[in-house]
This record gives sequence, structure tokens and C-alpha cells, in this order.
Amino acid sequence: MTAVPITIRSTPRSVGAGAWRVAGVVAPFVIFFGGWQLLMAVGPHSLQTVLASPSTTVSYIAHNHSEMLTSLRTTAYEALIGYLVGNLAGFVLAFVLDSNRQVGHVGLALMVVAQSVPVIAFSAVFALWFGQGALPRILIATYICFFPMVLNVHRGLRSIDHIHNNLFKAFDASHVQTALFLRFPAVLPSVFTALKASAVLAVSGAIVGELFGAQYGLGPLLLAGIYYQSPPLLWSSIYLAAAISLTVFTTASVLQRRLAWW
Amino acid sequence: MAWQFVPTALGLQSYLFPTFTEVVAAFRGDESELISALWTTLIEATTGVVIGAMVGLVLGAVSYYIGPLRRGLLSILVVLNSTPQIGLAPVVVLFLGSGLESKIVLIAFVTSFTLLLYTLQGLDLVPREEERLLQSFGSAEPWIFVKLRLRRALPTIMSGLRYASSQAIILAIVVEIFSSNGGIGHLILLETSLAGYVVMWAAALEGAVAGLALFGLASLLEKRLTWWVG
Amino acid sequence: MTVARQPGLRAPVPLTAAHANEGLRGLTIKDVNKTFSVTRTSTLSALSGINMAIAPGSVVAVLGPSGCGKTTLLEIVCGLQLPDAGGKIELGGLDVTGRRGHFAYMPQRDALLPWRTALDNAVLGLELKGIVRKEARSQAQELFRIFNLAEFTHYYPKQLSIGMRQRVALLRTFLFPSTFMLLDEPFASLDAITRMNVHLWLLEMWERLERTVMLVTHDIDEAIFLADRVIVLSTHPGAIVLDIEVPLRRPRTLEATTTEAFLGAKRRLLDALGQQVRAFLPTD
Repeated sequence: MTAVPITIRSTPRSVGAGAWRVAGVVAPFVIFFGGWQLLMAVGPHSLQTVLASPSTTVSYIAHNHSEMLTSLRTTAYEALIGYLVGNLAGFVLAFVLDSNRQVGHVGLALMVVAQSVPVIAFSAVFALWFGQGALPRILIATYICFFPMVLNVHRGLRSIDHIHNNLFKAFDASHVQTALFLRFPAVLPSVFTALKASAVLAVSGAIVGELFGAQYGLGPLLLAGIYYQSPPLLWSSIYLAAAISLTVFTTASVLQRRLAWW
Repeated sequence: MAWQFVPTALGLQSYLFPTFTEVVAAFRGDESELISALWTTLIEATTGVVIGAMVGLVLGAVSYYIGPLRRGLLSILVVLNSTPQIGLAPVVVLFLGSGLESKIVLIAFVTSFTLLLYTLQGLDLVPREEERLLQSFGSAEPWIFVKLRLRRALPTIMSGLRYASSQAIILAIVVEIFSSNGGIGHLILLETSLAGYVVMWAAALEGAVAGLALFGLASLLEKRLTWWVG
Repeated sequence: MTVARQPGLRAPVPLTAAHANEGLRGLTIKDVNKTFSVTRTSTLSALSGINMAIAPGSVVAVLGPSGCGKTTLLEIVCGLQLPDAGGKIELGGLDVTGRRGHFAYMPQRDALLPWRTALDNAVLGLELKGIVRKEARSQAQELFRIFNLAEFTHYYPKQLSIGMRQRVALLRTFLFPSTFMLLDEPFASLDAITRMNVHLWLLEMWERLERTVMLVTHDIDEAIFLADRVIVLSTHPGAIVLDIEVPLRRPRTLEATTTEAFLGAKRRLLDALGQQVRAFLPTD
């Protein structure tokens, strides 16, 4: 019997192709920072009051590294816990909302509305309720990360082809089986979309929370940067904040390639 | 209504969780302050978003046709989006001072990139068949752009607008925290240090209202313009 | 009455213990009607008075234009939908109305899961029935080998052509632990040439493995070529208008499609279907 031709064949990634991909991702950053450094060197002196060249900033961080590290760790801790808890809760809730039509309808509307409430307006309230520890900031980060996950996963569940649903029903699969074999793999791409989107948001939330009276963390550093009119300090905090979100984002991207490649 | 009674029932002190009447009283008392704060924030956010949306739309439309421009802008977008944009709030205050301008500039800057992204995504969605059809009629590109591409991209652009309006409110409030010139963020910070907790609560609620209002406006606009979608 | 096998064919191969134990069973469809309510006041009668008996081991094609309720009928048989009160589906004498899992069902498009290899897709039915994956895989491996598809076991759906995907979906249907297969327009998405290839492939599989097949299609040639019996369904409401035996010997070959017997059957079917078409034509 004749073999039918394959239309698309997935080629094994050669080392060259992989290197190009990494270069593609890194290039914008290199150009950006290179350009910035150049600008600082040749541009008007007034820029010095606002911007700090990449080299200045990096050396500033190196000089004050213990202090920077403490702040980094504080903010990272708050952001990460909020990130994990918020996303996990969002994932679970999405499945809950999908189980029942009425609940889903109402719940979804609620989610959309709740998402547009700027939780940071309540940072002060949280600080009041929960003191000055990590908790209020974790709560903010959790709130922020929760909604993208719920909405994305819910959309992913709704967009499962009804043919697949029918197939599983006809094969008399139990709810658990359907969840494990069909729904979970089907929403994994959406999960990663949400994870990548909320990486930055979690850090933002933690930092804003810190602005309301925290002692350590990148938020206070930002405030200090403004108070002492010190661009290097300011930009150091920004760099470190970006470092956290980039790390999370990259981890999520890498995991996505391994786990949800379809 | 539960709001009114639950806090007292639970014995919460008023600085922790003011009752409804207390918050209303705060509005009466500090009315001018609260109202002007809300107004300021709304103005900043709306102006910023409108400018940002227009810029983003135009940039998106233009870079749709110019490949290198598109790649360049998207690269900047990548760098921009991986940093917590609120970190830029103090920078813009240092640069432009504490007035409305600094907030509007930052909001416009960030939202223009958001809209740029969504515009490009929307324009990419044009079905090939419809494109070919109009081209076979000999229609000129600008006409095709308006009649076909823009129409097809509109739903995506509108959802980008919705997202951008949430971004705008958040950015507005955050920049206000760093500056000393009115707005909800600043008011919250002020009242916290003054221990004027009820007012702080009122301000926080205003924040929620502002966020919802802008979101609602964007949704309304979306409904008006894209009623023809499924 | 079981379909007599022509001498000279290879002896059938029971695929798994489940299949061997179950043996071939016949299907009886009794008094099946199906009405849908379109608005609050009007209803649509999708199926009306369907009565059918399908002999074990045979291939029956249900033919009709789109929208005549063929898919609905199939879904009622396999339990995805319920017939109106009074309708009954009996498999080998057992009442299975509304009960699922008794039929090897194949929906209209291939419905392969994109995150599973061809092999893992094929064993889906077995896995859902509780068979450990390793065990299921080795059973499936054998089947892939018999039908010269062994080299494709580790490919993912997006790497396969549409004809290949359809074959994998058919393998999945063959592997499902039931000897009664329900196929919903399985070849509708294939081009004519690929379709011929897959027809022959299906017939070869059917002859190696004992199955009863109920196949729904809108293609007359396909119905005659594959089936022992063709039943024509009308539209609005869906009722049986014709039921003929296909007078072709097995094994079927492509030459058969140009014989008088083939054309005779085709004429009868065209006539029955033609009446459907005429109902839509403007009257002068």
C-alpha cells in the first residue's frame, strides 16, 4: 500500500538556528543599551539630571550591592509569592467557572469588572490592614496576577473544539479523564500566555505596595531616588525590577517551549 | 447596605473599615479635595489614552506597510514591556515635574505602544480572500485600507483600547504618588501620612470608580463601533 | 444473517481480547424520532420513524444530503443525544438508548489531539477504558505495523497530511474496544484521489478485523463502493426513502465502480435522491 506524503516535517533544530534565535532576542536589548550609552556620552548635559548611562548604573549597583541585593530580594519575594498564588488561584477558578453556565456567565462578568479596579488604589488600605510586612504587597501582586489567568484559561476552555468534547463523551470518558486528557493539555498554551503577561504585573504590584511605607524593597529605593534626585539610584532600581520580571518571563517562555509547544 | 452595618457589627474601628455613612460624610466634608482629585486623575488618564491611542494607531498603520519600521518599533516594545512601567514614573517626574504633563506624557507613551501592538495584530487578521477580492477589483490601497483592513482590525484595536484604559488609570495613580500635585494617588499618600483614613478610603474608592469609568467608556465605544462582530 | 465472506480472503484478526470476547453484534433502531424546538412555537422534525436492523459484520451506508439528520441519527445511536420518547437503540439485543461507550464513534473531522503522537492518539480509546498506556501502545503498534504505517507512529498531527490524519483517526476507531463502528462522513474532507486510497485502505482493514460498520455519507459512489447495504434518508423530516442491497462482490476493487451492477445501484439511488433535489427546484 502506498505511503501518503507528509506535508510538514518538523526539522530538528540545528545549533545554528538556535543561536540565531537567541541573537534575535538579545539584539534589541544590545542596541537599546548601546544607543543609550552613546546618547549619554554625546548628548546634552541636562540629560544627566534625569538619565543615568547604563555603565554608571551598573557600577552604582556594584558599589552598593549589598543594599541593592536586600531590596531586590524583598521585592522579588513579594512579587513571586503573589505571582504563584494569584496564577494558581486563577487557574482553579477558571475551571470552576467553566463547570456551570450560569455561574460562568456571572463570574466572568465579575472578573472583567474586578480587573479594571486599580488595586493599587487600595495599597494604602492594605498597608493599614496588614501592617508593613510582605503581606499587603503579596496581596496586591496576587490580585493583579489572578485575572489574566482566569480570563485566559476560561477562554482556552471555551475554545476547545466541540468535536473533541463529543469524542470524549462518545468514548464515555469520566469527568476526571476528560479534564486530565483533554482540557488540561488544551488550555496549557493559554496558561503560559497568562503567566508571561503577569510576570511584569506582579513586580509592578509589589513595588507600588512598597511605596506606602515599606522599609526595604525597590519601591523605597525609587522614592529615595526622587527625594535625593539621584538618577543612578533611580535607574538601578528600575534595572533590578526589570531583572526580576525578565527572569520570570524567560522561565515561563522556556517552560512553554518544553511543555506547551503545540 | 451590608457595608453600613457589617463593620460596626464586627467591631472594626472606623479607621480600618469605615462604614458607608462615614465615607459619604468624608465626601461632604472634603468634597472639593476629593472631587478635584478624581477629576484630575480622570483627565490625565483620558487625555493620555486618547493621545496614545491615536499615536499608536497611526504608528501601527504606517509600520504595517514598512517592515523595518515595524521590526524596530516592536523591538522597543519588547524592551519596554519587560520592565515594570511604573518604574518610569519617578523618571518622568524628575524630567517633567509634577504637573499634569508628566502623567499625560508617560501614559501616552506607554499606551501608544500598547495600541501599536494591538493595531498590528488586528491588521494581520485580514482574511486573504477578502484582500485579494478588493485588489482584483483594482481598488487603490488607501481605500482598501479604510474599508477592509481597518474594519477587520477594529475589534482587536478596541480590546486594546480597553486594556490601555486600565493601564492609563494605574499609571496615572502611580505617577501621582511620586509627584505632589493632586490626583488620587497623591491624595491617598497624603491622607495616609495625615492619618485621615476615611478620606483615604474615599480616595481609594474613587480610584476604583475611575478605573471602572474609563473601562466602561472604552467598552461602550467598542460596542458602538463593532456591533457587527458575531 | 451474517455477511458471507468470499473465499480467498485473509482470515480476520481479532485485535484485542476485548474485541475477541465481544464478538460481532447487530444493531436495531426502533421508532426513532427526533424533534428540535426552533422557536417557542415551532419545531423541526429532524428524524421521523426511523426503523433499521443492521446485521452483524456488515457495512451499512446511510446516504442523504446535508442537513437531513444523518449526524443526528449517529449521535442518537452512540448516546450523545436522546431520541424522542419511545425510540430505542438495541445493540445485540441490549438496550443502549442514551448510554455511551458501546460504540466506536468517529466524528466528522479527525479530532486528533495535537499534543499526542499518532500512536498515542490511536490508543486514546483504550486508555480511556482503563488500559495502561504501555500495554495499549504495544497493541496499537501491531496494527500500525500490519497496515504499513509503522514509520508514522511518532509523528504529531500537524506533521501529517490530511489523508494520514484520517487514517490515524480510523485506527483509533478500530482500536476502541467495541466491534461496532459509527463513522460520520469520515472522508468528507479528503480530495477525490486521496479518498480512493483511503477507501481501499479501510476495506482492507475491515476485512482483516471483524467489525460492523454504520457509515454516514453524502457521496453516492462512496456509499456503493464501501457498503453491503445503502439506506437513503430524506430531509425535513429525515425518513428512510430507500433501502437497497449492493450487488457487488467482495473484495471490492476500483474496477467495480464502472460495472453495470454498480451503475444500476447508482441509478436507483440517484432516483431516490433526485426526488429530494426536485423538491428544491422552482416549479414552472
